[in-house]
Amino acid sequence: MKSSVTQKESIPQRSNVGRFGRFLTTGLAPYSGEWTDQERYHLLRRTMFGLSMDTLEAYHGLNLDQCITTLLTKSPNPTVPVNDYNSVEITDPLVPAGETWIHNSERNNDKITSGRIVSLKSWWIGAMLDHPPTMHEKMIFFWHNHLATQSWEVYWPHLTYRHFDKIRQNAFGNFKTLVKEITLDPHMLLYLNGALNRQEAPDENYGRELQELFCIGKGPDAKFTEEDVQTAARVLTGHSIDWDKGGEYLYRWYWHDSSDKQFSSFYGNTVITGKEGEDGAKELDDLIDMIFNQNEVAAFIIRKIYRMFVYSDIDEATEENVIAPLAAIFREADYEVIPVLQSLLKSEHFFDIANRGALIKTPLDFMIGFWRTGGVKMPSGANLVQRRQIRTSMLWTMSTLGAEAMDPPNVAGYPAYYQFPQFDRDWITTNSITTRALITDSFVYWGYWSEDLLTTIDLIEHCATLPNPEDPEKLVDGLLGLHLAFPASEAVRQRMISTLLTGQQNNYYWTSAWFDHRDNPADAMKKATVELRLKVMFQFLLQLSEYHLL
Amino acid sequence: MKRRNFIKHATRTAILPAMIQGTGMAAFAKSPLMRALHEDLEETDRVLVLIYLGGGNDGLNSVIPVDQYDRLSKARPDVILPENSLLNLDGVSEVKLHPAMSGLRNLYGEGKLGIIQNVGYPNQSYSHFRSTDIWMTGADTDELLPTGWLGRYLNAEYPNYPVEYPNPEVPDPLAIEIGYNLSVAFQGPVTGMGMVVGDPEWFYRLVNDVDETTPNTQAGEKLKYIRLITKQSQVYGEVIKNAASKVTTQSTYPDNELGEQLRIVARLIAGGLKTRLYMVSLNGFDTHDAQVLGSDHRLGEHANLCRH
Repeated sequence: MKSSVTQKESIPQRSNVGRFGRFLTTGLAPYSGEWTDQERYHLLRRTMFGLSMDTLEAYHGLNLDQCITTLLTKSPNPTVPVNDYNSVEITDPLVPAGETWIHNSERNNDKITSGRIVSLKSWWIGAMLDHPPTMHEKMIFFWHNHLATQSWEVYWPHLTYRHFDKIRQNAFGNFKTLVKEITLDPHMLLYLNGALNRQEAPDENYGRELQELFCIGKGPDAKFTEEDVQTAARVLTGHSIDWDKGGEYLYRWYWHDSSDKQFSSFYGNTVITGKEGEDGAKELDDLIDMIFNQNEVAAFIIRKIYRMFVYSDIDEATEENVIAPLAAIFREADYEVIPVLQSLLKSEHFFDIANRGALIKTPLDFMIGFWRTGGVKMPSGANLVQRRQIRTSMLWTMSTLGAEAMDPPNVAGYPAYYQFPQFDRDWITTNSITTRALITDSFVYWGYWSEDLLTTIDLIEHCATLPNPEDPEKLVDGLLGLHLAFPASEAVRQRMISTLLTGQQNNYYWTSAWFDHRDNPADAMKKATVELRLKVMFQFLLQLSEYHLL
Repeated sequence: MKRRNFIKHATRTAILPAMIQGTGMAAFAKSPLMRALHEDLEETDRVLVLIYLGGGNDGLNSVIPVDQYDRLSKARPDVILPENSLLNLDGVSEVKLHPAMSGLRNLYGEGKLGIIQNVGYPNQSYSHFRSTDIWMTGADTDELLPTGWLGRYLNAEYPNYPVEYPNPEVPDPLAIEIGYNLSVAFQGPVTGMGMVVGDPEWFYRLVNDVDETTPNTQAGEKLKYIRLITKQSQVYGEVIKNAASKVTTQSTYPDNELGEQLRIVARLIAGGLKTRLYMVSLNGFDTHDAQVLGSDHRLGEHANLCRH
């Protein structure tokens, strides 16, 4: 395999990849190296949650171009969330069990509002667990992290649903369109106080984050000023909601500041001409055009994409060979996302051996990826509420790992994508690393707990999906290739084989145990013989540090 | 631990950053904290617990410079607190406290609270995130620092950490943060210098003895990091659990986010942990329009937070 890692003596000033003195020289030229499961899995792991069986089947035998085409296909919409929160404590008088609540804007009962929020979060986790084999679901996570909001802060769940639906419908679409839609989105208008932004009391919050967090960033070339923040806030006055009509978007022209708005030299001293009455709303188009005319917008988003899908740290070579040309593609395509993803995912840089396994799994990659890759299923017979409870348990578990779906820590999203110098290392703490082990151990040994059901992984069934599970060496190689993004050492491999053989030397012991069980599936003793060894081996595999790399 | 050095580092970049900012030095001189800072503390069993007020506390509505009340009410009419609602500090005329901060007022009366005012930096950043980073790293407004001020201090004191730690002389974590993430404040030049603790009674023994070499690559560096944290979780996890288990009864703490965290800290200190630095956090100070009730500025989210 080709490696383009080169030793460099001088460490680029703005880089912290230089921590270990290396950087890459590959760029956007199409990848033309080997095309084996290893490369295919790298592509699929980074763009989806885990490697489910149906994913592997869907991509089996496809070349790189075909893979990309399939990956960048929009998934069908998941069925809408329903009342799966009725319980002994809560009964929703407005929405019957099993019916959708997304058209109901009531929020007078805290138990029902909270029930719906948890239901919605669990619904999204369900969408991730069952996501079709495309990149769509991970792009939703990407945009959610980028245009971050917090559902508990807004506390109006039907607006949260609609907000995420906007992200879902635009995930592969046009970034400029998405920003405009999100600017007028009631969930965002409430979250960043835009709904209260009026001429007499301008609120800078959204005007600031629109530039600092959503479009321009804080890079060395992001030189918008404090006055630009205030001026943008004035342009945005009047975009509000109607609290009496379920929080629908409402333009309050009488709140709008209709004077002319002068921006700084960073924006070429642009003046946005003030407009009166309902026309005041149109100033938003001028504002967005002005912002998107800045070169920094494309570069800023590309860096974000890079950090989530390729690697955490960006050095000068990457800036030059990857970020800048991708930003040019993004601008050329008038901010359509697909051409950028195509170029990046097909590039020799993306497949550079140095980038493989070099990201740390998010709590979602860890937990949902484990579920999908391991072929975990809901316990048979689980009803609507129980299925929601299991997904809710996963929600709280991922929250203790640092990522509660729909509630990142703040409007900047997860620190893994902006907090220099830690970036994705932030996911791993002395607390989270042991919690991660406890989670996989639960699935393997005693069952992952929800309110009244235990969920386990069927290790035998999982192994049976791999070629030659009766051969301990082939089984271990298959599992390592599937579960690890980083090649395991020979010592690790030997320890796993040795576990299957309970320390003995002859591979045949495992082979005969495997066949004995296969031929006598009803024999509990024969099953236990196989399962016990698999449990010990899986605990080891899933606790490996390598397991946390993506 | 060389306390004096610590203070030198600390005062350069400001102690108790988010808690207090404002004008004047009124409540400053008589405080026991300041006396402590000036004493020779080469050898000490003292512990510093930092409380991070996430979102940035409104200092001017916490410690109110009443000697400039008129100017303040002109500048901040939408949030200004009624002057007659403010709490007096014994023997202090220049500043008063938010009406919800009666607990801190009493501590002051007992000589257990010091307040340092006028802590800040030139050209203040209005970005929430940039300003958080500045407080955590001790950087200038236009300076990007990869390490935290506490991390740098600990690295200066324990330059080889984490290699050969823990050891008989330094058996305990250098710093402990209660929560889910390690703040940038504890980030040292090589690694995070602190340990994250959720539940001190909870310790999970892992099966893997990983002591393998890692390649000098991007992925290898991440792997090395994960192994390091894993190792720390094992060696220090047990130490912390042992300290916690020595303390079976504690006095009652307020039933809230902050009380629960401070209870853990007190328990670990009482359990004999020699860790000198702790950080806990209380979030929600990014109050925006909910800071005060329009009808009564003494009430609102900020008041609820100040009551902690």
